Amino acid sequence: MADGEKLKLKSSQGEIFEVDPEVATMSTLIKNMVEDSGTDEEIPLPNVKTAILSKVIDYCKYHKDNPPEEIQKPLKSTNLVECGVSEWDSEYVNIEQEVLFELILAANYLDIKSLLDLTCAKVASMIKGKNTEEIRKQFNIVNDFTPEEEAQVREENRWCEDA
Amino acid sequence: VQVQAPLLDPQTVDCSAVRRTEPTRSDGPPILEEAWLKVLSYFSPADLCHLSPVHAKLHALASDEDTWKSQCTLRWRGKQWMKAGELFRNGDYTGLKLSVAECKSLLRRRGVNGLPHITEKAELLHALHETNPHVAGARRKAATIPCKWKRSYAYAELDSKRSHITHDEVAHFRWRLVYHGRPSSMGL
Repeated sequence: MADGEKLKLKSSQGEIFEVDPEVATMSTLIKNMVEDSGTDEEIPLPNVKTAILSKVIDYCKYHKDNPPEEIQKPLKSTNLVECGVSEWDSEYVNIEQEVLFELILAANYLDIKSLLDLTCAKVASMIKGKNTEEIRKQFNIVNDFTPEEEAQVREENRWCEDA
Repeated sequence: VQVQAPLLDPQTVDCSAVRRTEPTRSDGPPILEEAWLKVLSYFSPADLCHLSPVHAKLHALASDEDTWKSQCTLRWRGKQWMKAGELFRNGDYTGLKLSVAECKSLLRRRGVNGLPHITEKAELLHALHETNPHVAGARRKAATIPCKWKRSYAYAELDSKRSHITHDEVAHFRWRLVYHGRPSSMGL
């Protein structure tokens, strides 16, 4: 690979992003594609929309020389900064829920572990400390249990309330 | 080609009205399972228990064996009698699939004698049944938890609230007596 040569990443909507190889290959998927077939051709990413790809590239640019710290498990707080996440990362995932979910899918597809960790930790922080009804409301989930089933599952988890 | 589906799609999820007329159950939210398991890895046991009754699919995910095994490993750390990878000794595992090794490990730690002579699994299960803990009231429902490691965790929590001690425990634990902030010189 010649120095200074940019990789061309193509979003699902056909938009091309020219990106430094060190930035783009933070994605294991892209790294493998480049190793297999070189850098000359456009790299099609049919699962990633333009807006999301642009956001993913922002993340990779920021973290290229600056790998993020491990995030604490279990989360001690709903505030990610208190769990070892940097201010920049915390601000980065402070986004609409739909965008966050698309980012998770993109991080999973592109195989960028630290971004998947961050986005999943964000979802966890949105659920943490909420009761069952609040969680349903937050994610617009319709309860699919029959009343009997739900009562049974709640009973099964009662030990935790008492503990 | 991988089909891109949202983590939780409200339009697909909002099918309660349809479900009443259809005999088959909805598949629930189209969840990217690996991503959810990663989300769950950031949870405390209480968070997992709150998530469980939200939706059938989430219930299944929040009962994931590996997730709870990690929780047990964290919780067992630094405790006498509790090693990583071992089910909690004083739990009722009736109705779950245990391996012969797991049965024997539990029975050994419950102080059951003559284990090498037991060859039939049915006998092991019988011995386990005989030595199951007695848990009272609503807490008995812990015995309906479908996940081995979650049940293990739940029984450990219930057991930690116990206010009496058995003869075996008095004899088995290593005791370290401290008088006025200094260890005893009496050999304990």
